[in-house]
Amino acid sequence: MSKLQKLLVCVMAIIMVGTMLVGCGNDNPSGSAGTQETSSETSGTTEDTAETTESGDEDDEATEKVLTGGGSNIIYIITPSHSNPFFKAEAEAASAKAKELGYEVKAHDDDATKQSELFENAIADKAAAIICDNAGADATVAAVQKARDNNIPTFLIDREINESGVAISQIVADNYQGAKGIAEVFVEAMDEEGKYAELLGRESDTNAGVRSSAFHEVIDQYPDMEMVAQQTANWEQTEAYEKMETILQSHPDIKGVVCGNDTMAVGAAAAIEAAGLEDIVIVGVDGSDEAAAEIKAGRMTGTALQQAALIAEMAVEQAHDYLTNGTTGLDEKQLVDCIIITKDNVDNLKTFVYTEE
Amino acid sequence: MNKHVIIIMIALLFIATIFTGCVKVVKIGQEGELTGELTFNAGDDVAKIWESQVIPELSEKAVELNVFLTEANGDLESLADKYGKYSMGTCGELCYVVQGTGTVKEVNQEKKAGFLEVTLDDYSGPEIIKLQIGTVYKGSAVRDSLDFIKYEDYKNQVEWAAVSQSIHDTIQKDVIEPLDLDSLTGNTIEFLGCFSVSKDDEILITPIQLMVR
Repeated sequence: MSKLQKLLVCVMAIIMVGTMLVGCGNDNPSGSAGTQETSSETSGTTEDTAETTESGDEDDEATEKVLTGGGSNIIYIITPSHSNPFFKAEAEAASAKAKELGYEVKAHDDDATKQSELFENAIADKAAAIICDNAGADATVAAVQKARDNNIPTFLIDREINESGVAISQIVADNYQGAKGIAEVFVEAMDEEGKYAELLGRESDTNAGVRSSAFHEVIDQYPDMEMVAQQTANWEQTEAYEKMETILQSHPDIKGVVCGNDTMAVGAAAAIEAAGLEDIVIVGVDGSDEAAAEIKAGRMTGTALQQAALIAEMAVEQAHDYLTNGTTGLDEKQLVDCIIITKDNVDNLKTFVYTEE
Repeated sequence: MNKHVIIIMIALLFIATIFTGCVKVVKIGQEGELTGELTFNAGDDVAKIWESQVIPELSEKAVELNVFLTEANGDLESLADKYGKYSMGTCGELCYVVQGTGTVKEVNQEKKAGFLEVTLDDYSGPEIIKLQIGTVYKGSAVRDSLDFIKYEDYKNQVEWAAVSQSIHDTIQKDVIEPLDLDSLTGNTIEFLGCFSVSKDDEILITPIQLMVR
């Protein structure tokens, strides 16, 4: 081996050691400061992590900083499609409240996948604030952050995101409490025993899982309750009708159906009626007028009302307070209880609003 | 030839050092130190705080149930400002922390959501007083009465719900299971617990302490 080769080996070795040190040098700061969840999610390489970590730190400072709005007097209201009366009710309640407080309103109910596009529009329009029923607990974080970076405060309604300190308020319908409450009614109406079926919501939607686990926290404590079928009907009425027909063919002796939302419960009730069956316990979640009609007619046992209109109005009021005073004076995350609706109190329910007698 | 082998080995050693140097070994369960997202364990959470925080806070807040009912005079919401806690600040579910002494009138275990019906000492109002004895517990009055934990501290409503489940597990194990329920009827008991207002004529208390005199 020549001296040149030896030298080469030495040089290469030094370079390697150097690389090692540099590599670790980059790794450490991002590791120790990497408390921001976004940094690990949005980044691929080490350098990216370091960058997002820095912006994460700015974000912490920004939490202190008051967002004053984009400059216009427009409040953006972004919800999923109004084909679901729940989203229609919340959007209308928010619009009415915002107009009452003197804002111009731009309401959008496009497909949930267009949500980030709508956030872009809001930023381009220099919106004063954004009210949003978000499309995904993880996916929405980046959009809300972007609005924040553009000085626009976001107020989330109905559903939460998996991050605090990005939105100003998260006013969340307590799905778990509501589903648990209606499951208690369900079990009681079934005398704590018998065969039942469950219709699940769309799998990709967090609330489908939240509601189902709340149902089962209650129902599974009763060994004589036997689930004979569990299928998704994707929140849809027609699909629920068809799934229910099929379930009834193999299990004509079921005593109850627990549904992830009212739309499916109404579909299931229709299938059960069409099959000529009676006295089957059916419950749903949402508190729609359609479900209220079924409860009054005795075809459904109950539902859990998510107070859509109340939540929407609270969000607009908090947006107004925040833009006026620089603070809402409230916790970022707020849970709004569901109200358990049965034939005893169904008369107090109309378009997602519960009025105490 | 030998030298070549040595050089290659040294090179490999360096490469190995590079990798081990940069890869940080994280023990299972300690990922949170790196990600900032601590592994959630409601069971451990509640066990840790039960004796040290839950019972002291609630003992301090508790109002004598007979005094409370006399003062409420049939309108349980009227005392919200004085003794209660609303789930949403000024509205929502209203919880009270109460304590008292009474006689067990009935032990009802027909349903899985079992309860004791109690005749309260020094009170003769019409309200029916019940203490939950499981195994199924309704509501989340204990969690919702506590000031030192709040929803914002948890990632989402599922984890928030798990706290209440875990509280109920603790109650079942520490408060209810040591009792001989079958022989309780006619006995005098002392209790400390929480309830949320649902009906004005029935009070369903989740006990966090229950002692037979």
